[in-house]
Amino acid sequence: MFQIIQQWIDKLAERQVRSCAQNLSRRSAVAKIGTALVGGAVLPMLPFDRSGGEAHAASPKQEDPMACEYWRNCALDGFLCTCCGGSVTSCPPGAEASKVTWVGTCKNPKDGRDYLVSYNDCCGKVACGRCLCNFNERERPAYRMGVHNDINWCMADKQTMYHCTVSVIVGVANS
Amino acid sequence: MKVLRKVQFNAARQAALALALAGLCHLPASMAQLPVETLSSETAIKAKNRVYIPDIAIMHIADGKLHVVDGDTGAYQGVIGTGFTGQSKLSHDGKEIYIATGYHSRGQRGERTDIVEVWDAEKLSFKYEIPISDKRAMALNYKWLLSLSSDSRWLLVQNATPATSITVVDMTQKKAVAEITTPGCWATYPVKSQPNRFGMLCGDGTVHMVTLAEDGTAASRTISEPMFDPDGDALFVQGEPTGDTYHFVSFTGNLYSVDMSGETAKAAGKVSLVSSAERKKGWRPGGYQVLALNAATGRFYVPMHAGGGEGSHKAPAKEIWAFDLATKKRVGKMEGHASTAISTSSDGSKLYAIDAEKASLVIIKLGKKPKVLGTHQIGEFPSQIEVN
Repeated sequence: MFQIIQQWIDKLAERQVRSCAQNLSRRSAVAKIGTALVGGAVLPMLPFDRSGGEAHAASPKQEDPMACEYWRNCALDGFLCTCCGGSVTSCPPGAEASKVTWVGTCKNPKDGRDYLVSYNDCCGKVACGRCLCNFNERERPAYRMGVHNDINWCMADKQTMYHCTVSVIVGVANS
Repeated sequence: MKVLRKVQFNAARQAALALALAGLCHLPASMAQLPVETLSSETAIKAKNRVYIPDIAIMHIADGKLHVVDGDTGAYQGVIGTGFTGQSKLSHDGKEIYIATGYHSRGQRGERTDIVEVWDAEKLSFKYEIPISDKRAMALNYKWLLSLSSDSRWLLVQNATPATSITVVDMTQKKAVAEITTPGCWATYPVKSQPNRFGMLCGDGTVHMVTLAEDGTAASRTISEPMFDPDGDALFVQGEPTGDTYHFVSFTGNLYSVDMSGETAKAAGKVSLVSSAERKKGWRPGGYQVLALNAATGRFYVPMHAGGGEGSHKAPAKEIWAFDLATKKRVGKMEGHASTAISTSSDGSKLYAIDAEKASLVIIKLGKKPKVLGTHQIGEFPSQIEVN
């Protein structure tokens, strides 16, 4: 189900020839497979098996911090800082980490644990424009602001321009 | 040898050109040279029925746009720049476009200025601006983040710092007159019969109602009984009214109706839009503008996807389902066009859908057999539709 949304982001990005070069061909293949499944009225593949708390084998993309399907990105909507000169825990040079964030709960396929992930935006520079992702697990409209991702989380910073988003582990859920 | 061949080739080309020019000399008199032209600017939009499509332009987010398209032909009419995460709203008479937005003095950096801009909807020209608080929410385009009271006096601007509040702009004074704190609540739903009153959806599942005093401050506020479950069955914030009752689609496929006519909001019905079999197959609504409602034709439409579940609420449509407004029963299905935002034309004869994959406007003639009249590429990241 998560692929359905990422698919259109991928297709849109491909149309505009502005996707993440390193991941484009692989993600396109995933998108095509997903389309075929949806077209055949079969449930699309889930990015992770959420049926239990046990550890599961991770697919390569779930372990790739430059892929939208990276396990920490389960509620990330924006540009991956890993594709913009930063990392999963650091903003690219010259950008400032946001003071406020939204939080996701994502399962690490390797250890089966649910982690609380803080999606800080990096601020004060133009939109990075690379690796646009859109995952929304447990995301809610802004009447639940702390788990909303259709807003600029640079809003409380002195420099409010949105650049990209990181995914920092801030705790373990259900531990 | 190579040089010689090149010379021969050039000679042959020149001969061919000479022959072509000789042919031109024998053109009929009717193909005389084109007249000298005069440069001008289009004075006004030609289209009678217009579709307004906000575009956050995520790849260069400081530079959003509002596209204006002919709702009958799909012909592009013009554009207004909407700055950084600008929200737009058409005036009730259709003559003006309000845009709540912000700019930094150096583009990506510098001093931030937030304003409401007023544009002429016919000429697409700037008229004037009203300074507002820099608490303005820098959000993706959603209907009801910028709302206008039914008497056109109050323009309500959504704020987030992330604490939420509303900036009240008095359009008769052309001035921001008040800020109303609204913790945990989002979007403003103006009440048609009570121009000083608006509702809000709140994170505890209640609906708050605010009634404004003459100076734009909150004269009264009420909190309803809990009406929905934000965890289990959250409401999309884009609702549509019939009279004073707003209808909202929920993440799992229910339609909730909320009567906002009184001082306190009241639940006015909840029906499932999916059968139990469809629910098991994961048919759910998805997108950013998930309800198109036309009171005149008594129909409403919802973009639906299969295989949905937690986290699929922004998925583009596999199908668009049509319902009868009176009975809430489904009356038809049509292709989904990968839509994430839909709206009917004001007369209800057409459905407009944003194809999220193609960044396009699909114009569909409604009827027993809906017919696609055209697909028109518009902008980069369209996510909302407003019609005149």
